[in-house]
Amino acid sequence: MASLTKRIDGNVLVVELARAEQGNALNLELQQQLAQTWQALDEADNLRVAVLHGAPDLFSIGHDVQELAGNASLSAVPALEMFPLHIGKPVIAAIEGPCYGLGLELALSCDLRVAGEGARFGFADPHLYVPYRIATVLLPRMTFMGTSLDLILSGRILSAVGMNEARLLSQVTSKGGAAAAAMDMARDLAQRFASPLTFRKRNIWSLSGMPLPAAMNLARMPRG
Amino acid sequence: MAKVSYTRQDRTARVHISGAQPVFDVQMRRELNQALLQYKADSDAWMAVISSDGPDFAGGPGEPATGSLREQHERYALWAGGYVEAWKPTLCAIQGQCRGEGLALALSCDLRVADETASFSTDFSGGAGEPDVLAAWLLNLVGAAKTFEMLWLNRTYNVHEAQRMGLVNRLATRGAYKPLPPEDGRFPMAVMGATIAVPQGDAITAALKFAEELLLYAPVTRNFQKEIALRSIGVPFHYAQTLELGPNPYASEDRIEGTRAFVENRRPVWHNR
Amino acid sequence: MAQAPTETAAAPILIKERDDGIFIARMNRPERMNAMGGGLREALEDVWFEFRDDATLKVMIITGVGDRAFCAGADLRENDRKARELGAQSAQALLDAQRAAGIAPSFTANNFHLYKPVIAAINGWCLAGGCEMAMGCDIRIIERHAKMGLPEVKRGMGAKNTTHKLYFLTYLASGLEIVWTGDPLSAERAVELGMANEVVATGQSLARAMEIARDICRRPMAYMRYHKERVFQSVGVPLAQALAMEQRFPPHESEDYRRGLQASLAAKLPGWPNP
Repeated sequence: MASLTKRIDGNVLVVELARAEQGNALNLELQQQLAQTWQALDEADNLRVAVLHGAPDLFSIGHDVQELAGNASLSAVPALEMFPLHIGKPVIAAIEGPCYGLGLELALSCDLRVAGEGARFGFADPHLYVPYRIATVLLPRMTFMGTSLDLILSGRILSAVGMNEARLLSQVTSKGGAAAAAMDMARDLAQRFASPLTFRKRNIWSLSGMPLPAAMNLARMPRG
Repeated sequence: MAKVSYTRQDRTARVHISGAQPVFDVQMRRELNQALLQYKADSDAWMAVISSDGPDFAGGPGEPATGSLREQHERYALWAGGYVEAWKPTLCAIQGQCRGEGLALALSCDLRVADETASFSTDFSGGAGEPDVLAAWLLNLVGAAKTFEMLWLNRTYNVHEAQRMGLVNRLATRGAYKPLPPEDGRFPMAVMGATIAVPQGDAITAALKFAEELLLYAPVTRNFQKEIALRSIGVPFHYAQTLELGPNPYASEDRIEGTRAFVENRRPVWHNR
Repeated sequence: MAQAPTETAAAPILIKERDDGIFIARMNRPERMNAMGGGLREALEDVWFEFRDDATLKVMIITGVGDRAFCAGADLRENDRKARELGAQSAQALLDAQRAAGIAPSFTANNFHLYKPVIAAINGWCLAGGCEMAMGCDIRIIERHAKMGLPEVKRGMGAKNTTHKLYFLTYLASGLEIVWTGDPLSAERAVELGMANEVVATGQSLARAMEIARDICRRPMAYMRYHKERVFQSVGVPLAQALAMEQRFPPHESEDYRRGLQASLAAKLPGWPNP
């Protein structure tokens, strides 16, 4: 039984987290399938953009605690490749319901986020003694430092409205509408950007955390 | 026919783009760059307002990526007037459409005052015709999430949305001028506003009014704060906290003047040292 | 929570209480709006070290007594008197003399690698050095009537640590607007701009901070330390470098980790499993 399903819609790759009965918990197998998916997306000539979504009322609750508890040699630290940060093509996350812990990190590592109004975001499990390597790095670059520290340290749950005010969402839809809205966004992107190079995703990220004179130099270097 | 003029009245310099439909070309970029450098060198100018004739601020369809290597180099280097580091405030007055390279110019200023007609879009195409200047500014102004959204989705944001995102500081509204604080130097503790009222509700007058209000306060402090804010970007946090950058307000004569004026119930007279 | 002592003239200028791992410090100089004079500055400087060095304390809350002021900043009158006593002839000499006499101009909690969480419960006017102190905390809860501001520009002063920190709290343009106008922010505006996390009703900031502190205390301290440290060490460097940084994190064989997994299995998350 696949943990993840994929289908192609024109130039858009639609990726669905398919372990709803387990809360779309990101077990090792799902992490590896995600990594393979992003790799394939980056290499496929006919694909421009991806949409990542879960069930109509559930994105992901994060780590697979059952798997971790049952396997003492398994590390809770996921490989970076499960996140689409390093590839050159955009991934839009469509989020409904719970988006917790490692699931929230996965959503944050996507380039754009659309959420249904029932979506809930946070590091909700106070018992999980795991390092959130991605959240600590991405959150302060995407939103306010105060919001970043609050989310990570206190375990506060933010609604879609709260995430939107923190500048972390591009659209809030009615409950159940996120996947469709993300598809519209993806189709529009796929149509307007003829070549994946024009997204300039890696170039833009490379300017983050760079001193202004250096960033301006890099930004103003003509391309061949 | 000059496109960009530099003038100064008292402490406020004006960099003004003339013409009904300002279009960025070689001449405009060079003149903008010259004007910004002139502001930097003009020690009598403590504040600058960058503006244009309108009805749109600036922007419009970008040029194709043609031309010799030298021309491409210059286009990139002087894009939106180039990157000029002047350690004193620049305010941008925005009306109508502010897009593409025009947006890059607006974002290179420290603060932005816009009127109700203003709208903002990146017109990003990712092609070789434009440098990554917008991305470089947006990362520092709205954060990475909104940066990708603004560049890729190419939405048009109205002035209220822009203000919520931190892109616009003040909205120009139609109304009577707010009086300056009284001559006794007692600065009121009213909360920071979101609007500037001027009789015609236009962005340029509002930006000039904003400049006038800011000029009531200490220039050494302002310039020091700008230098700290910009030069500690991309510097590890704890190292930046220890950096000694810019003039130290506590070692300035203006600091003594500030306290003395308070004690003597008058407005401070600043000297920018 | 522990019963608050009566705020009489005999009460300390900084009231300190402990409640099961939560350290509460309340500035008690309301007649001077908690301006940092009369020994309050020294008490504040000590209290951060006390919190940092006591392994039984997990999270700290800083607030002011009453509803008028959190902290109005440096005590200008007292500083001015001391400066005149020092007889400084020029601004630089004044600065040197003040440093020598221990009236240092700026102070924030981030100055010395404090990796345990601190919550500011902003119960009133929070200005200048007081605002800087609040900005040095990790989470800021602000009461509806309270205001935060950095008015230093109006008097020719200005703290570098604050300006630097503003970039992270509220990004570039808003930060410059705040320090150049010197005007205080309303509570709502403070949250809008990222300067505060949450607005609460007047008189409720300490209670809300206690709730958050208890949530924080449910997690192991090493979790707090790792994440807070990593946040501050990962900003201001290129993304690739930040991602490549490794900090020591207790291995997955650790007691706390395995115990936590068991507790997690037994617990329910909000909204999951579905009701």
